[in-house]
Amino acid sequence: MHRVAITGMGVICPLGKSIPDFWEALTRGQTAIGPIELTDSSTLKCQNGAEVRDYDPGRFFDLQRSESIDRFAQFALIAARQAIEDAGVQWSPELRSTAAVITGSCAGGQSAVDKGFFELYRRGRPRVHPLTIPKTMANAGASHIAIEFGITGPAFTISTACSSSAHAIGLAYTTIASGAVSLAIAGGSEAPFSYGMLKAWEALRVISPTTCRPFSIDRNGMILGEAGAMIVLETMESALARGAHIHGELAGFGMSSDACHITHPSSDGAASAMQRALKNAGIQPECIGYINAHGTGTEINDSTESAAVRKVFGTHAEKLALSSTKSMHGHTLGAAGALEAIASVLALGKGILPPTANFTQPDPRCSLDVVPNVARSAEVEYCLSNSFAFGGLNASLVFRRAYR
Amino acid sequence: MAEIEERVRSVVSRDRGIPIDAVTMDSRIEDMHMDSLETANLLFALEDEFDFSIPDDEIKLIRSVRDMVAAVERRTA
Repeated sequence: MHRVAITGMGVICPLGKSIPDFWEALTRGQTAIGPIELTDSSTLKCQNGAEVRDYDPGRFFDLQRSESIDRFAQFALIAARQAIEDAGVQWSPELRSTAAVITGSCAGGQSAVDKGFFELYRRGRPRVHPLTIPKTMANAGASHIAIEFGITGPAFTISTACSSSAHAIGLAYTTIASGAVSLAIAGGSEAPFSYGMLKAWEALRVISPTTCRPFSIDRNGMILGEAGAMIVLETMESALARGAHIHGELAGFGMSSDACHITHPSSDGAASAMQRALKNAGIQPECIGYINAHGTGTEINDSTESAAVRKVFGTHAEKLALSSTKSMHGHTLGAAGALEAIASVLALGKGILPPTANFTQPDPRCSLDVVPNVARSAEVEYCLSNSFAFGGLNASLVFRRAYR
Repeated sequence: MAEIEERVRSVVSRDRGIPIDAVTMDSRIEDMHMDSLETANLLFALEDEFDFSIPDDEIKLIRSVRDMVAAVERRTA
């Protein structure tokens, strides 16, 4: 089995359109949650979200391309470009034919569908935009990345709700570890701010009318976000041989299914994913110094996740730090696993743990060290990044700090 | 009529990314080197601009900017 290095990272998200901007905002505990502007929110009960503000597609695409690629796939492509440039990938015909592209997205180009359906049902037009299908399909991000970089290796998209891009990264990891491919671009993207989608989320009664306060006693729901987040993974041998800058190591991956409820999480399922990730990494629970939590800010997720952490870590749960960066960038759904993986790798590399922002008072049912409100210096060798999706599909990733 | 022609030429110019002066009434779709998806895109942009729909049996008869203008005039008269 090969060790797997992370050699490139790219992001466009509510906290910034680059890795340095993203990291700076995380360390300042800055929240990007504010009034939704991408659609008319006046009839929504929950009017706040974490949007990518001041986004001009014209900076990244010519007009024809920007109109034929949905926002979610634009984010995927922008993040992939950054990651590939960051990794300094030296493309050869052989590498293009063997590299993999594995992306995650919950709902793909749902805004294209929303717009098309508005035209059909409300305005009575007989047709939708000819590119509605290519814009909507959840694999559009992966396809456009493969097209732009001429990649003819394995390319596909995983859709497992909030765990989509964690699963995508995990699959890239296992594919590289096995030797099937030597390099992969993996991550996810999501752009959920259309009226219809927002009303659908509102109907579930899990969205906060105010803000996202993971693990606080007065938390009252999640806040949606949008993002594209991609990483470049390759075998450690390849990274070292070409002198690549190594951000960190993806050391383990664990998956599980709750098999109990279509929206409510199970602490057993979550614990199982974490335990499997640790076993895959070949480390004991006590090696983990930090967890980037799924931490959505809903009453049920945060208490369930805390219980799962205690099941896995026992008394060590009181010693490790755990924070939810969703408190700052919102729940970016299909991009969440990848965005939070990047936050985790940066935390290890920089020796700073991002905080759980908007924290007020602890909830006795959670009551772990959630790094409240202020980032903290800490030298941590291994961390865990959790994603626990609707439908009970869980993914946990173990990251190891790169040796300086 | 002059206004419709101007707006049609503007739609073609914008959709194809070519200067409006290069778009004349005699400009033909086959000379613009578009695939079927791009052609559908252009005609959809035309429908969007004038808020009308071109019937499916008429779409395949549109071969030039002149045909596009005529389609708009028929529907918006």
